[in-house]
Amino acid sequence: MYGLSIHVAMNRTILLAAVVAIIVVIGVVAVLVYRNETVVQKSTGSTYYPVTVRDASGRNVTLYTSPSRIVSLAPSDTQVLVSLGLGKELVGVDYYSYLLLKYLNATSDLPQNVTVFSPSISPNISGIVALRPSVVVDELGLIGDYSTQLSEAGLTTFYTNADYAGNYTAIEESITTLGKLFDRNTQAVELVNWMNTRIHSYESQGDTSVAYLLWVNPDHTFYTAGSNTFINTILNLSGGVNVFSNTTGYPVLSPESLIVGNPQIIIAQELTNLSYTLYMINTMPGIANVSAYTNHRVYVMSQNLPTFLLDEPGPLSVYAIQMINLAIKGDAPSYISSAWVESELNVTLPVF
Amino acid sequence: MKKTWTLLLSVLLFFSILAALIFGEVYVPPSALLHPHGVYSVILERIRIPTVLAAAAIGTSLAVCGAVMQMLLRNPLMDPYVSGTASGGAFGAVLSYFLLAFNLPFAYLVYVSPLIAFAFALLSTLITIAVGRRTGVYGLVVGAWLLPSFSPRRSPYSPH
Repeated sequence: MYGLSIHVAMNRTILLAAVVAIIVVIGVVAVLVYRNETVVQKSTGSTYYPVTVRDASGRNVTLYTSPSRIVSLAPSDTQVLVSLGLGKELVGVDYYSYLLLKYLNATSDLPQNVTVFSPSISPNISGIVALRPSVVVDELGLIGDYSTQLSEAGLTTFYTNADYAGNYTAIEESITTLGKLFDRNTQAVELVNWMNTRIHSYESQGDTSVAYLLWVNPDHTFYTAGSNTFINTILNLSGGVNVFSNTTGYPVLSPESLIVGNPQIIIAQELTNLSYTLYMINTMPGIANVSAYTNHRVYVMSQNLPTFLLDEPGPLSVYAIQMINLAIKGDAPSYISSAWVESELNVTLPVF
Repeated sequence: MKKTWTLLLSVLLFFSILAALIFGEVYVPPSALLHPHGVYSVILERIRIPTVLAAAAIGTSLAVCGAVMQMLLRNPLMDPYVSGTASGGAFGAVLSYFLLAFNLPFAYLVYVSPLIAFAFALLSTLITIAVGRRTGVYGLVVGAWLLPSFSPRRSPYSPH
């Protein structure tokens, strides 16, 4: 009786040991199989990934696999991504990116079911997370403090800083960086060449003085662009000289400076609508003594495509040189509309 | 004593007007004040002189208004934010911008806006005075603080 119970107990221990051993073996095999599988997956995909690229915020961003789901939250980035042939990989874009592609009749470059985020100051984080993106691309200046929230939400983010570009070289650097991250190095080189060819064919020398009005406030003070801005670069390349090049950044100036600067041409961005813009310019104190006004050389750019070309530093900005150049030569209408720009400049976003 | 103060403030006014004409975004040399030429004449004639005169006139009228308000409400601590005048004016100004919906031309609106603001400032001040008549100075203060609550909330100019 006694011996039997020992026998049963021993049997039980052996059984238990066997079960444990089987579980361990299954576990080890599973891990090995899983590991092998991922290794196999990696080797069948391109050998390009994993890749680590330094973004504009100074972080090293690593992508382990080819990103198939991209979210772009800035028009300047969307331009580049579509141009690099990544349009179909975009699962979500911001409203203004979509608007830009709509102006260009190029929404077919995006997938049909692309999510368009409505315009807002803060990014729609839950909406972005729901799209399960491989990487989220945005402008450093636009994302601001929300970058922490995006990272905390577990999103891989990559930031560019083309919105603060002072010249075309900075835009081209941003393109090269994005090309590196998305395994589109050759396309990036082609895009940069495309830009340079156009810049060289559009640029011209000249010394026509230009005042650029970004925005006119109700008290007739106005925002303009200083010497270190992208707009200043465009003015210089299109044969103009910025009368406010003694300033930096985007200063607020009063009509006094406009009278002293006495520009030959005024180029203004549309404020709300054309009639209000003209009202604000025509009622500026002392405007009658500015030669641009007396010679009827005031140009208003409509707030859609024409201002997009200047305000969103990207590949399409090369057309801004041609547009401003036509205004300086006197070949542009006083109201530079989206339709005129489309027909006259034949603005197209190249896809490589 | 009163004469000395008047003299002192007059001299101060003269110098501040002079300084306001000379200094600004564009420096106007004092010689250009006597013999205005070129851009300086335009800046002085079209911008500086109108601005300085308007600033002096507005400052004077505000000072008189303040004195009148304090006398009227028999309270030396009275200011337009306590009496509801500022809130009423802000409401009128915002209301006039909503009139844009009736397609008033903008050029016309900028002249109408101060009038509507003035009418509402006057109305709210009168209500405050009426409240004060009935309930005394404490009621007046409480009533005036409540008054803006009945106008559409949170115009950017309302004090609370």
